[in-house]
Amino acid sequence: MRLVDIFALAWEALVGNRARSFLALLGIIIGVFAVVAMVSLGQMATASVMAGLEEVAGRSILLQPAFGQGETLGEEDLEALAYLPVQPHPQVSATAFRELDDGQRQALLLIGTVGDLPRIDPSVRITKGRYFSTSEAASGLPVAVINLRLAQEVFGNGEPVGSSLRLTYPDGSWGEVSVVGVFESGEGAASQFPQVNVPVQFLWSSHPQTTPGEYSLIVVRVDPGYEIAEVQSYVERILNSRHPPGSIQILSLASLSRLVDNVSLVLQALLGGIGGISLLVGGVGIMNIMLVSVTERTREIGLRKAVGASSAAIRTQFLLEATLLTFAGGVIGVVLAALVLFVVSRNSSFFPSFVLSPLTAEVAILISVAIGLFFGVFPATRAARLEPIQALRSE
Amino acid sequence: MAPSPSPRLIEMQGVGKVYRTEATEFWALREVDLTVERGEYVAIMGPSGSGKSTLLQIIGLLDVPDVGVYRLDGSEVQSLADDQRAVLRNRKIGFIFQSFFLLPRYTALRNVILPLIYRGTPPGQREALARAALSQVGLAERMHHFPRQLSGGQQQRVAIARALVQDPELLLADEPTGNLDSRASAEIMEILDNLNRAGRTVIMVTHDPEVAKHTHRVVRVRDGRISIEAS
Repeated sequence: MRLVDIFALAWEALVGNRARSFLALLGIIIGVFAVVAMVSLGQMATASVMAGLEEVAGRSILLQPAFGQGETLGEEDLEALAYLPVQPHPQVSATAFRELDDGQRQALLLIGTVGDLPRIDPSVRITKGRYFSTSEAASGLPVAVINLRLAQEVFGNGEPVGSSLRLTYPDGSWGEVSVVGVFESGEGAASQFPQVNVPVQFLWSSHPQTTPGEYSLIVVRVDPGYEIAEVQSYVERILNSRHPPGSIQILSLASLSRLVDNVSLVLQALLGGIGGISLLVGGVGIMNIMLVSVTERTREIGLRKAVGASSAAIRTQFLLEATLLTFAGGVIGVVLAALVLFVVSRNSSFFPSFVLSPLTAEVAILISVAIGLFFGVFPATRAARLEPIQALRSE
Repeated sequence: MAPSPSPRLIEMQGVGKVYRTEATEFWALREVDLTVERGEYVAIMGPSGSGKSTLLQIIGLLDVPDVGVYRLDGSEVQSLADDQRAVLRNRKIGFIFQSFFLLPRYTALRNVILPLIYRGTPPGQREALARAALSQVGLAERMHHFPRQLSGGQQQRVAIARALVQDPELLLADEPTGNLDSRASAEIMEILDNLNRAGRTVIMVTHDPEVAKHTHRVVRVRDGRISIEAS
């Protein structure tokens, strides 16, 4: 008795009872579909977040004074980094308000930057006007580039470039800037908050809560062709020689992506677990239908034994039937999930990329085969144990 | 060629089968001594509940005796394991049942091939053997029909072909004409007569004296014992 023959017998039995086979399949298809879709959606969400991060952080290393350590970043830090293949652009962030007509105040994110930022940070795109120049920034002129969100709120369909904007500071004092351009930065959450970029020099001289010479953030952009991790180790060495260790946070996409990866793993495990439960339910469904099948086919089993089938041959046939079903269910479930994920990624801006890792598909199919084996054992054993006379007697 | 001293096909000594419940025990068969030579044509008769079917099932290795010795083709078989009995059934015993027991989703040809699959006959030879067996019962033209497309007599002929394809030492028939009209019964009996004439050992359970007349010997079973052996 060869395995190929038992395989053929199992196949015939499944094809011979299409309705029952299909019902058994359905549970597994739904289960595998759920697992694959859930895990892949988790991966797609991760990819989406990573793409956003890449846009913000890209080939950049972020330097930031750790909160409450009393250390600050200044001009000398920039000079110390000058020998590395990097473009540092320091920033000062502060809060300002915009007075609304009804007397309310709207909070704005006020960022002091160097001039000509889009050249250093490609994620900043000018949609109207221009960015203030390096010389404008150096002389601290009251010029501003505002983000699209703010431009739409303040000026609606009107022309923002050339208008002036009054910024009220938390202590009640104020400054006035003239808008020279509108920018847009990515699609992330940051673009949803009104933001004003002004020269650092202006911010220091105008905003009462900033200290001239102190930056709140230095974005260090690594020149093309250099390994970020390697440059980061030099940056760390330089900063640690200038500041007490740990007083300056050094972040790069690499360290951020580790964090995102951890979150994403938890997310995938959670979603995969939910899908896994439905796969388990599908497995119980297979067992159920296989048990019914054993009962229905008692006489058939008896006859097979009478003409010489060993218990092992019967057991193998029923196990193969269960496993074939779950294998087919697994393949169909993966294909279905791929189709649905493809459609979702085409029609959703949050899931811009379509991810279906071969590993997910392979593991899902392997698990469904394992479920077939696991839940097939009980019905198959029951079939194998049937005594031929008892089986033939049952009418 | 000198005839080799071949052992008797069936030799039973003191065979018994008991069914026990907590309170009672019921001997379906007791102290059965039975000998069947090669080439014999035997009918087992008796009222229902007499144990004749149990006897046939023990002869056919579908059931095991609780006491006694059963030699089939010279070797003791009463204490063989299930799978060893399955192998012997496949090699030596062909069954014909009252209700045919054909697999409804298989064609006549596939039904006849079935024992060959379990025997491990190479795939290339199976179909030719099955076709030959179907021709022997006159059903070569219907081999691609499904059981539901065949009459009762034709279905029983497929079942006989399924037994013949094994080329068994022993053909066991349990009420082979019980579900058939008289014309189909006559056809089936003619086939069995011819098979026996060609040298095949046939043992048949029947309650029909007309059917039993075809055989050469009648074994009567009553209350689990063999009462008379008529010749």
